[in-house]
Amino acid sequence: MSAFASILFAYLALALQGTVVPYLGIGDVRPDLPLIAVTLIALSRGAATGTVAGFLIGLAQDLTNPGFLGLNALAKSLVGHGVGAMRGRFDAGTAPSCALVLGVAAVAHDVVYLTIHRRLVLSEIFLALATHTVPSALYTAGVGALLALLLGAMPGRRLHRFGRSQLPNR
Amino acid sequence: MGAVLRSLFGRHRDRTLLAVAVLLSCLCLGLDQGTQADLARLLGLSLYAPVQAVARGTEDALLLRRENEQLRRLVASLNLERQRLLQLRDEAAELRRVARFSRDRFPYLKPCEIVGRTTDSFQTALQLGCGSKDSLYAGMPVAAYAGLVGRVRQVTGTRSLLETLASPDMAISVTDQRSGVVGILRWARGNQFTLDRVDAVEDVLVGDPLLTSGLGDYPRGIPVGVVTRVGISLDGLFKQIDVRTHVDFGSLRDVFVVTRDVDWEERALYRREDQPLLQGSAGSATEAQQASGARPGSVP
Repeated sequence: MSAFASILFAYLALALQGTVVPYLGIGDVRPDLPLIAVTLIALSRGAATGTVAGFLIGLAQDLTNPGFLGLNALAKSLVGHGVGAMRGRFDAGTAPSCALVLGVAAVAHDVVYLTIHRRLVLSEIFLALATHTVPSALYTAGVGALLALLLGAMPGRRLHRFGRSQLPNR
Repeated sequence: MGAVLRSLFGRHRDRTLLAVAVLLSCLCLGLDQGTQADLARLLGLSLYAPVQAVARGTEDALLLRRENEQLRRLVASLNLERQRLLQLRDEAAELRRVARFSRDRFPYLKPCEIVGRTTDSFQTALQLGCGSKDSLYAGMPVAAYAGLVGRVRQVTGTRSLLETLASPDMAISVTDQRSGVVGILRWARGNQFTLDRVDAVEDVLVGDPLLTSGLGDYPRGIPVGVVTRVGISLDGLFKQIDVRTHVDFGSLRDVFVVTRDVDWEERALYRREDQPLLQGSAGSATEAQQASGARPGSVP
């Protein structure tokens, strides 16, 4: 994914998250498109770009709710870095493995987020993880894997070749 | 120095960028709320303005016709109900005058469009297209057609931030419409709330509607939600009550800010240009009553 495509992808994810995603919710459960964007960019371009993308996308999300400005930026930069740094250790080229990476990324993101947002109140953190994070992570993983497949199927794109297959020769 | 920088941004580039990102995030989190709001307004408006314009235009085109039909039907029904309420208002005013109570007041509503939503799945703050130029102040209650939404948290010239009831910091006093029991409503998750500070012996049942009690910052009588579960706390002293709000905070498009209290009179509540519509609707309502054979003034 080129830098321009990454920026466009990130902006589209943010735009759709605020406009279309509220109508795709199953009850309180919604996919997290900005997180999908961060994860796919990190898988495609590595830890450094993943960190920067995570920070910028997270900050853009925080701008819509300045009560915790920087919280999404922090959680998403950690996720971007983690996914980018680990991409050499697995092959996310297939839909199930891509979904697995997205699911784990979504849970990791919410653990960081909730720890600060709920001010370390463990009961509230675990309740939110069980009732909100797990179903949302499943939804996010499903949507993200589908999106990765669709983008990978487009001519000129190689999003379906994440992970090892895109690593430079060492 | 150059060698250190080369090492940081060359060999250890990934970790350096992560450290910078974490540091900047923590700095943002450490800013005071006013600065956070200013920063968000400055950057957010330009970032999201094109998206919001396109989204609003599409939504309007898709929903306007259906919404108009719904509103026309609602106006006709409300006018029937209003005729009856006007009779009750006069009776209540007379009784209050005899008992030397103060005059009953009515909330004056300022319609505002929602121009931005948070993209954060854990928080439901909304951005309104009205600000201090429209006489909005922080703390004003906000309602929708279905019921209470929250309060205005921050106000700028043309925009304001609405904090919905689905916020960890919100606690409002509500009353059970059936039994009059008063409790404190707090957010649990999603559209789920709890009603606290209700003794185990108090009379609260599943299905009871809840209204704002008028104790605190919110005017009396605004619908809030309905009781979905009633249990007893482990110590047996209090009830454990679950509540679902009438308002779905995720699908709101328009809200009404309660800007002030006014007398319950047409001159105070409606604009001059609304009068023909009210009379027309009242006429339609009377025609509807006559067609259905209902007694004028009766509740449909």
